[in-house]
Amino acid sequence: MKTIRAEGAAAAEEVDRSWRALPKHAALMLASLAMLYPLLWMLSSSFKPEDEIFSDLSLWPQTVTLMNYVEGWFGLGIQFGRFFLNSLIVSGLAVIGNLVACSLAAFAFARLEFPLKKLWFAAMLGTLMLPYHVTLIPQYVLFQKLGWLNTFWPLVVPKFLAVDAFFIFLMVQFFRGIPRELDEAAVIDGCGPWRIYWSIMLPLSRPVLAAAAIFSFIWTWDDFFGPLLYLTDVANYTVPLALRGFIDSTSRSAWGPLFSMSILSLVPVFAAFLMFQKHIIEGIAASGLKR
Amino acid sequence: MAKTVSRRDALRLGALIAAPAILTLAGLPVSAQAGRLRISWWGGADRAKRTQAAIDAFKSRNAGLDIVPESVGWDAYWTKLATQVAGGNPPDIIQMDYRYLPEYARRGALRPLDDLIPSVIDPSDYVPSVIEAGKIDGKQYGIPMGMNSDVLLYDKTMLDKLGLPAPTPEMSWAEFTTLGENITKKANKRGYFGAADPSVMEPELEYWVLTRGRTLYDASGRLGFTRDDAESWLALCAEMRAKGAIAPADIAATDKITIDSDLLTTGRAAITFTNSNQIVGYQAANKSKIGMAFHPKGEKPGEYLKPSMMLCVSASAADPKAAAALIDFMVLKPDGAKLLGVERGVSPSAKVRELLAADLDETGRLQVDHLSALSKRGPAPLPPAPPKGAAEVTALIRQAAEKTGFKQLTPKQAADQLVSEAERVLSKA
Amino acid sequence: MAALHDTTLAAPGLPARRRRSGAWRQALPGYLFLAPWLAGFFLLTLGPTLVSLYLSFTDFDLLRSPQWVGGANYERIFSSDPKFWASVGVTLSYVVLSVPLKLGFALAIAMWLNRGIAGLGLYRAIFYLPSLLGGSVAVAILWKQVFGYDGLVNQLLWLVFGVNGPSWISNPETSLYTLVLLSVWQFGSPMIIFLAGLRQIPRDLYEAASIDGASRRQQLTKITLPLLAPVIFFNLVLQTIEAFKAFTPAFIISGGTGGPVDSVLFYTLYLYQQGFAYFRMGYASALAWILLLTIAAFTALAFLSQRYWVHYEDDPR
Repeated sequence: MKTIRAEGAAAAEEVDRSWRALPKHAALMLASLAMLYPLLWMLSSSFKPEDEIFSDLSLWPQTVTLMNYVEGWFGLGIQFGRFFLNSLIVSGLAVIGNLVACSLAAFAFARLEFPLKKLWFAAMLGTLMLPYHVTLIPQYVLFQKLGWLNTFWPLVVPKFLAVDAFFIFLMVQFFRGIPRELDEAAVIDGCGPWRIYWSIMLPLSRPVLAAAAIFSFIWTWDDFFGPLLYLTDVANYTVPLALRGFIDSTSRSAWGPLFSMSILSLVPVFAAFLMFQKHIIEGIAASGLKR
Repeated sequence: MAKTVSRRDALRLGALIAAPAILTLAGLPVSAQAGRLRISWWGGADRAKRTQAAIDAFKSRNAGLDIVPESVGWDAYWTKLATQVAGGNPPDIIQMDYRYLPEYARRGALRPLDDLIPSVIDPSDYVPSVIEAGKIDGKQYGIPMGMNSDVLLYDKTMLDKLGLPAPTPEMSWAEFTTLGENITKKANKRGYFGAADPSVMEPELEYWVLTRGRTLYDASGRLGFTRDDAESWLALCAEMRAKGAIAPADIAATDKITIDSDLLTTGRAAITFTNSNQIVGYQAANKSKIGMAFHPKGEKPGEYLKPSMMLCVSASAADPKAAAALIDFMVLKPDGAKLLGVERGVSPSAKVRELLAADLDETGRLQVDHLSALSKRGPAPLPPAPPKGAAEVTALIRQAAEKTGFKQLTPKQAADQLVSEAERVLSKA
Repeated sequence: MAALHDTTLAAPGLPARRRRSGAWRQALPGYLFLAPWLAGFFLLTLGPTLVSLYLSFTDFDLLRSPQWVGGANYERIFSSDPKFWASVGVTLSYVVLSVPLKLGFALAIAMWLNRGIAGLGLYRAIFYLPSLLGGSVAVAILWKQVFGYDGLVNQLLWLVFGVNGPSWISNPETSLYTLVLLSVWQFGSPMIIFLAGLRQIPRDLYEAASIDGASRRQQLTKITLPLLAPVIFFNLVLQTIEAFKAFTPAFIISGGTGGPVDSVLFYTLYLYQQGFAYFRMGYASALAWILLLTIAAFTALAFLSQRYWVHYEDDPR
């Protein structure tokens, strides 16, 4: 019987700890600094008093204050934790929805044969090409007719209906990288498409599923426009919407609280990234199909 | 085996799709209910706090009334409002800007309030020109919340440090230019200039044409100024730029006409041009002390009292009377007006102004004093409401300023382009 | 899109009889798996899309009902709208510059990070950070700090060459390039996708190649790139689409104006101005459909090109 062994990352990665790795580390660290700079700046701004943020752009605050965190957490009338909870619910459901619905559709496009397939595939790609500004209003009317305004439904249900074609196409490309002999062997063993999807495709696609999970979580977490239009009650606000509540270009803004809460809001996103990226790296080695 | 789905497979598939959907159902908030009052405004955290306090006070006096606040920053506000109105789900009370009032009123999105005046709202002691500004085609659509005027703000700390005088009410443009030059020279800091570039700002062109006895738009919605007005303005700014009195084009281009990108806030200029009520925001973002002054004087008055923002009732409001009562509470009743303070501008109502006079902070005091000085000095009459297409003309004005600033066009060429394109836009609109 | 690559083939070895007689029985699993997407497409996506197509033939000011004007919007776009052409120029330059740079960068870093080196997880996380910030307000302020009048770049120029640089971000000559750099800087998503693709390449292939004495370069051109082609293809198509539709960077950096002097007037920014600032949603919809057709043409070309450079594991050999 065929055994798939260690595709991708072999169990033991040879880590180069010798001195030869030093220049590489130096280069990577330099690059990291360029990447980290904005974060450091935001971090330092979150400890600066309001009137110092724009007039003094240095990374080290002249005066350190914790007020921004207190103001930020309590300043919007509702504790900021509520917005975190809302965002977690929406983003968590988005991850589940995208993974389930998009992998189903991707499996159909990658492995199954059915009439009009090319048409549907083209239509699927087509949905990526229209700028969202012109569908905002019809979509708003649609969700209003459904009675979904001021609920999480408009933000979550589309994910369970695989509306984001990005993920379908992404998964199609990876599914097609899995050798077809595997399915054929399974078919001979009496497996239906469901078994092939569940027991072959999904386990062998952990890296791409993890990547899709990362993007779903982060993009939903960062989304501003959807929540802006569909959530009206402050108690339902997600984090980005609440963050924008601190600032207004025409009146007094609360920049310090904005930055302090922005820093906090990076924590869950970063945690999600670390959690899922492990699966990209581990690859599919651990879950080979052994029979 | 062929690739067909057994019944069991189909069931599993169904369960996989349905389970999260059911999960979703459980933990979500219920949809909007009828019979509540929605109020929407743009603003930051400070404004939200004040407004929420006023709403709570109104609620405690009107048991059973549910009021839902919606607030967001200026940029997102207009997209959201347009979508809500187009989607047939506008808020009952809408905070409105002077520029957008005609757009919404003439398209039937707002409800005239004449039948509720003075029975529910009584603005009889308002400054006449300010309440007038809430009228479109003879009907009262907007109730001004506060009034302001176009002013100069300056970095008092910096001017004191440099030993230079603050701008005076009788100063001419030539004196202003000299002041700007002196600031630039004495400060002697790379990238620091006397004043921001006024030519990129539409209200400053308006000030210029008003001092020349013209307006941006006439009453029938056509362009109210000439090529000559525009050219002289662009040439004056070019001269100030050449002398180093105002910021050069590439620095002016970083000014997005917002408080956080303004050259005064970012430490690029000592003087800027803005609305008087925004001093609250400027002072909060600046370490230096901020002062307020009149523009350089022209032949005719160019500063006028205008509504900083208004409250309107949506045409589809279910209970316009309750909506009007809340507006009245916020702008005219002592309890409500006290909670809002002068953050949205100085009240146009003499009674309320007097009431608030006692506990004004420094930025509030500066606003009140400046506006009463303006009233004494004689403000310009209220110009006609901006017509459809005005937003596009604003962009054209900025474009013309940038093209002269980057020396792509001479002031004359830019003025020609501005006027002919603006006329084209207005004739189409 | 007629020339889409044939994405599947019926499993070879099936008796021909079954394939013919059971066409619909065979179709059933496909449609079952596709059911959620089909439901979403017909319930949520198709309606608003068709409405926007209809609106593109109307005069629609958002607040009153749309008036049918036939092809007038399209005619005006092509005949008398200089801003349309300006935005096309800006957008095309952005696509042509940012897509190859960003993808090249992402691929190089992904390959580098795929090798054995201590602390890789940390580097990967750090390199993804800029993408976490997305289009937040902080990015606008930050970019001004780097490319502004006395930003980081000019400070370096002064230190190294003793020259005073301009304000790169607000100069019509250079502002677009700062946005290209911003897009390259946020290379996290394609990098992650490349990494996932690299992880799917069977390691034994490299082992076998090493035993056969293949050089690193040969391994790259004979193993890595060919096996990564479907993923490269994906990133190329998607990043091109994204670049055509880019909105947020120009919006936050220029404060929604597209200036100075229209130098960063991206196509979708112009479309947004027309629709929401000038109340011309019909015109904006027409602009959107022109963009859709343009992107579709580019995508179709990409799919046509696949036969020359993309090979799938499930292709017949």
